[in-house]
Order: sequence, then structure tokens, then C-alpha cells
Amino acid sequence: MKSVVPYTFRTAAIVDGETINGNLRRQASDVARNLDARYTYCPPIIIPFDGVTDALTTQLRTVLFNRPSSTNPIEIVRVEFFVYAASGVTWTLSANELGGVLTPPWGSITLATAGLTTEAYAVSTTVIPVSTFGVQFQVSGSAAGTITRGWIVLHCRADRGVQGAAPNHAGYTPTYVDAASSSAGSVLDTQLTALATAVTNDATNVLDLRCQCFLARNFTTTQSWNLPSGAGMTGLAFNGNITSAALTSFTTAGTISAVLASGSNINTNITITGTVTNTVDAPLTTASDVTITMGTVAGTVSLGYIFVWWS
Amino acid sequence: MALVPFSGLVTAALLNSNFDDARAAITTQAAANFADMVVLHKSLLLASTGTAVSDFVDFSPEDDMELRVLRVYATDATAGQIVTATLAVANGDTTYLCDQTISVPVTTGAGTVVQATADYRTVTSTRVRLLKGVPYRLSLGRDTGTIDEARAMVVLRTVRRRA
Repeated sequence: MKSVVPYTFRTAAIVDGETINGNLRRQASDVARNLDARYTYCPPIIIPFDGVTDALTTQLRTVLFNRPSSTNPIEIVRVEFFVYAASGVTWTLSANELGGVLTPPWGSITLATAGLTTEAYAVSTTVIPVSTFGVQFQVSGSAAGTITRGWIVLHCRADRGVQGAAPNHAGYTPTYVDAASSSAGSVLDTQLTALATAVTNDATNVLDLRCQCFLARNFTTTQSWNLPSGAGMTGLAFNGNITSAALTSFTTAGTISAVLASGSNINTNITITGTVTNTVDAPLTTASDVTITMGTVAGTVSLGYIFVWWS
Repeated sequence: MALVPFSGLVTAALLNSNFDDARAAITTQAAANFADMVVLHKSLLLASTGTAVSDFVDFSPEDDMELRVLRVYATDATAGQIVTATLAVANGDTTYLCDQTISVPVTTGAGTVVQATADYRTVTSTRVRLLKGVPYRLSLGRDTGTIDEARAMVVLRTVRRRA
């Protein structure tokens, strides 16, 4: 997209109000066009639910999805639910806000299993604004059963017009200069200052967000994944969780900050946070791929997962 | 944007610089219009679990995306096993990928992590586009036996700003 070239003023020529107003109109239009194209989409975020049974404790059937910070508001615009399992069980995917209910409420989605080699699928396009508390997704079965292979796919979008904290992008509506303006400099300053504010907000709200989930169950050894640094990763944050029946722990490593997560309560979902650092290069240069590790495991970790966010 | 305020006198040069500065900032912002995405899948590829349901994930993009890179990682105690990462349409309708076979194999080394990459970024090579709403399948397969660990990674490019 190209912005409209403003009218040029010439020295010693008459500066007329309509030319100035024409420039204000053109640039207001450009700002509005940028603001219209305000959404950026995350890649599909895949969260596995392999091996989950109806009898597991609630925490082991739940994944907490959270945004990296309060200044990175995002919305979940679509949720897909896939299950391969023996037929005869209806599985429900529900969502709630950690410690409360979602506003607006999100209706759960259900599917009936159709066999180990037949995909059961359900989807919801109800938008979920992700608050600072995060959104918990939970699966539950109508009868005794095991999800042989299952996952949910979250599709998220970030809003460049609203970054949670000032400056939010309110657009730009100029007040035009007219012949009655007693002080041209002052009037123009007011208009150009408003334009500059809108443009600056547009430039400040540049963060798009990309995210991936790394999840493992019942592991006793180091788990690791790779992300290509050449995917434009500049580093942002991660949220991790651990749930375990006995005292267990893992330490995050690789290209993310070393953070210890430990817990001994199957009903407690322990949250860890940290930062991601990386050097961006071409996707084929594997030397600086981001390696995400849950390692130095003590005991058996029933459920551990990390959401990595980058921009 | 660095606005230079007027100090009573409105000059043509200052008017021009202020409007040009605003235009430059708006243009820069509008130009940042693509981003590379990543879709990942990890599998143990156990022989007992079979291949039909154990080694893939399906997803349908929220927006159109162009395929950039497909990469496979594999680790196994036995050397010489072939692990293949494949991107296909989930329902088998190959029309969506122009009948292209999007896959990359790698041969395991004994106890070491090996990797292979298919690069679709070169201008003269085939361009593959994933369409919004079409279900795609990222899968991992092996020829025989079991694989200790396999990982597939897709890098996709999408338009950054959307209405």
C-alpha cells in the first residue's frame, strides 16, 4: 500500500487553506486505511490432548492459554476440536476464564467419537477475548473413554488498533483550516499535532503476535522442540505450566530464560513466565533456531506445557 | 513522526516537511505487511500406534499463506531409518496443492539429531499456497520400526495486516 503524496507548497507562493485541507484529508484517509487493516493473525496453535481419559483429574484435562502481557490483547476467533477414539463417547470442549467465566460466554462444543481411524471434528467461531487471566480449555467425556489422538487448534488475532495500554489508535479526524483562522501557525500546529499523534499511535501499535504451544505428558526426561529463528522471531515471552501428583519439576532452557517450575499438587496449575531471546536469520540457517526445552526433570511430570510468543 | 511546530510564521518548507514526514511514517507502517508463521508437530512414531492416527495434525488456516519451508528432525538409536515429513490436504483433494507432493525425508543417525529441509522460497521453484479454510495435514511417517522422536516444522508466510 502506498500513501497518497501530499500537495507541495512553494516558497513565495500563496498558501491557501484548501491545499492545506487537501493534505489533511489525504493523510487522514491514509491513517484510516492503516487502521482498517488492523488485525494480524497468529499461525494455527495446536494443543495436543493425546491420551487424555475421562477419569483424569480436571487439571490434567485442562490447558491454560494466556497472552504474553496486558499490553498484548488478542482474541481467539476460531477453535477447532479433533478426536480419534473408540466410538461411543461424546467429548465436550469447554472454555472459561481462569477464576471465572468468559465474558461474553462461550458455548462449549461437542463431538461424538467415531472410531480410532475416523476423525471426529467440531468447530466454534465464537470470538473469545483473552483477558489477563487467560482462558482455560477443558475436555471431558460423557462416558469411560480415552482420546487416542486428539488436539485443538486455536486461531488468534491481534489488534494493532488496541494494544491494551495507551496509546490506543483512535484514528484521525482533522478540523480544516478556513479563512477565519486568526493565527495560521497555531491552527496548523493543532491539526498537525493531532495527525502526528495518530501516525505515532499507528507506528507504536505494530506488534503482531505469533505463538506456538509445546506440550508433553508423563515425561521423565528432557523434552525439546525447535522453532526457526528465520520466522522473524524477535523474542517476546512464554507462559509455562506444570501439573503433577507428586513433587516434580522441570527447568526451561534452550533459548528461553531458565525458569524452574515445580509442583506437588495434582489440582494446582503452576504458572511460570519468562522471556525469549533470539537472533533472526534465514529460515534455513538452523544454527540459531530457537530450542525450547523442558529439562532437568525431577520425578514424572504429569503435564507440562509452554506457550511461546514472538513478534 | 517528528512534527516541527510552526512558530507564528507558516513557511512552505515547513509545511512540506511536516506533511512528507507524516506520509513517510504512514507508508512505513503500511508496508510491514507480511510475517512468517510456523506450524509444528512432534511424534514418537511408535510402531504399535500405527500411522493412520498417530502421526499427524490437521489445521485449516485462518488466512491465505504461502509455503516457505518444510523441515523434519529425527532422533533414533538406530541409523539408517527414514523419517518423512509431509504436508497434504487432509481430505485428500490434491487440487488445492496443485497436485504437488510436499514432503522431505531424512535418514537417522545412531543417537544423533538429524534434519532435512525443503526450501520453497526460491523464486524459480514451485510456489505453493495454503488457502483459508482448507484443511491441511502435517504428518510424520517412517519406513520401518520405531523412531525415538520426530519433529516436523512448516514455515508459512502470510499478509500481516488484514481488515
